[in-house]
Amino acid sequence: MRITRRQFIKLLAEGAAALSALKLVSLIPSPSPTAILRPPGAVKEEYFNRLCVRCGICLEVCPTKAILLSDFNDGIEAVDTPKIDPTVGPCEFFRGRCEEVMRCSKFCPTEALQLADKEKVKIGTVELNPDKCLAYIGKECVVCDEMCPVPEAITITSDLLPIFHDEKCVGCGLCVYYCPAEPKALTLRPDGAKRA
Amino acid sequence: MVRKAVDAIGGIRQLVSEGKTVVVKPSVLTSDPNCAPDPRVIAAVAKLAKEAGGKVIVAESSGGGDTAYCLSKVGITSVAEEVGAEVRVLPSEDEVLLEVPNGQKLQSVKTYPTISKCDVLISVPRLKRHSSTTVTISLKNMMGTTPQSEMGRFHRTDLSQCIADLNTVLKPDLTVVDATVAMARTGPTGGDMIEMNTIMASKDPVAIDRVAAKRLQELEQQMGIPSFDAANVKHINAAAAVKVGTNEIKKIVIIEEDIL
Repeated sequence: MRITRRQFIKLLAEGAAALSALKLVSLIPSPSPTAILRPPGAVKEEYFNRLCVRCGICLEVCPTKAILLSDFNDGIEAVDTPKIDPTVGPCEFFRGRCEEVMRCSKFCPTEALQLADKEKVKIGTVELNPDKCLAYIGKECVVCDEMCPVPEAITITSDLLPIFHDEKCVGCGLCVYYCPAEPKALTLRPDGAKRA
Repeated sequence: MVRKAVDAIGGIRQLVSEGKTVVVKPSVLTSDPNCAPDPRVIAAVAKLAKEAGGKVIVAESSGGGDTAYCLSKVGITSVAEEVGAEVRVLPSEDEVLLEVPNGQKLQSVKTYPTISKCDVLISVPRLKRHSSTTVTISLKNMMGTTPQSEMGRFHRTDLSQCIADLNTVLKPDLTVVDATVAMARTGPTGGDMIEMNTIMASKDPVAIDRVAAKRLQELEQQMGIPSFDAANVKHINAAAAVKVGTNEIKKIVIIEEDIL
C-alpha cells in the first residue's frame, strides 16, 4: 500500500494528537488507587496507571524477574501494569545488577518508571512476623541482616533477634527473598513508598 | 605471604600434582568486596596450585546475590582469569546429592559436580565476625558449595550442626584464611574492616577456625570492641565433635613468621 504525502502528514498529526491526549490523561490522578508494590523509580500511584502503556519491557529487562503483571486483585485500573513480588525475586536497585542503573526505569518508554536517585527510592516497608521468624523461635538465623544492603536498616539485638528500622529500609526485598522461614516471616508492603 | 604460609605447613606440592583438579572456594557472600576475600589472595592461591601442575577452578555459590555478578564485582573473576584459572558459577550446574554418613542433623546434602569431583578443595575465606554464628571462616565457607535451597534448610534445622555435618563430607584439603583485613564487631556484612596483615594456612579447618577466631577475639579486645569467647563458637566445637578436626589449642602447632 502506498501512502500519499497528504496521508502521511495526516497520520503524523493524528499520532501527535494521541500522544498529547495520553499526556493530558496522565495528569489526571486516578481516584483512590490500590496500593501496589511498584518497581523503583515509579511515579506516584495516582498517575502510574495512566502513564504505563502495559508494554511489559520492565519485566523483560529485570535481571531477577522480580517484576510481575498486576491482575484484577490489584484493581481493574492496574491490570497488566508492573508490580514487584520479592518472593519471586529481589529488586537489586540498591545493591546488585541494577545498582549502577535501574534497568526497568532506563528502558521504560513512558515516564511511568523514571530514573531516580537510589538514595531517594523506597519501594515499601518490611513487616516481620515474630511467630514465623526463625530467630524469634530460637534458631540461629540472621539471614535478613546478612542480605540487607543498607547499613543499620536491620540491627541485631544481644539476644540475636533482628530489628527492622523503617526509616532506613529502602524496600528492595532482598531480606524477604532470602528469608529461609517456611512460610516466610517477612512481607514487603507498599506502605511508606517513596516515589518519583 | 600466601606462599610463605603454605610452605610453612609443608608446601602446596604435598596436595597438588600434575593434572589434579583443584577447586579454590572463596567466601563471596554478596557483591560487597568487604564480604569477600581480597582477590589478590585468591590469585596467589590459584597461582601456587597452577605452579604445582593443577588445573585450577575458582568456584562459588553466593548466598546473597547472583554468583557471576558477585564474583565479577568483588574482582575475583578478572584476577582468576589473569592467572589462568577457570571461574565456575556453581548454581548454573546440575545439583548432586551426597550422603552424610556421620551427620547429626544432615543425612544428605546437595552440592555440585565441580565440588564433588575435584581432587583438591582449597577454602579461602576472609576472617569475619558473624552476628549469628559468631565467626565465619573456613567451616562456614563450605556452605557456599551448596545450593541456596540447602542454605535455607540449614538455617531452619540447626545451622551450627549443619555446618559441622557438611564439613564431614566436604572438608577442604587446605584452608588459607585471608586476615589481611578482617571484619570485626559484626558481620558477615557491615562490620568494621581492621588491618591484621595476616595470612593463615592449615590442612585442618577446625584448627584454623579455632586459631583465627582467637586472633579476632584478641584484636577486638585490644580495640575495646565487645567481643566473644573463641573457645565457645558453636559450629567450631560441633565440627570438632564430629571429628572434622581439632579445636584444642594445646594440640595445635602454630608456626608464626613476621615477614613485614
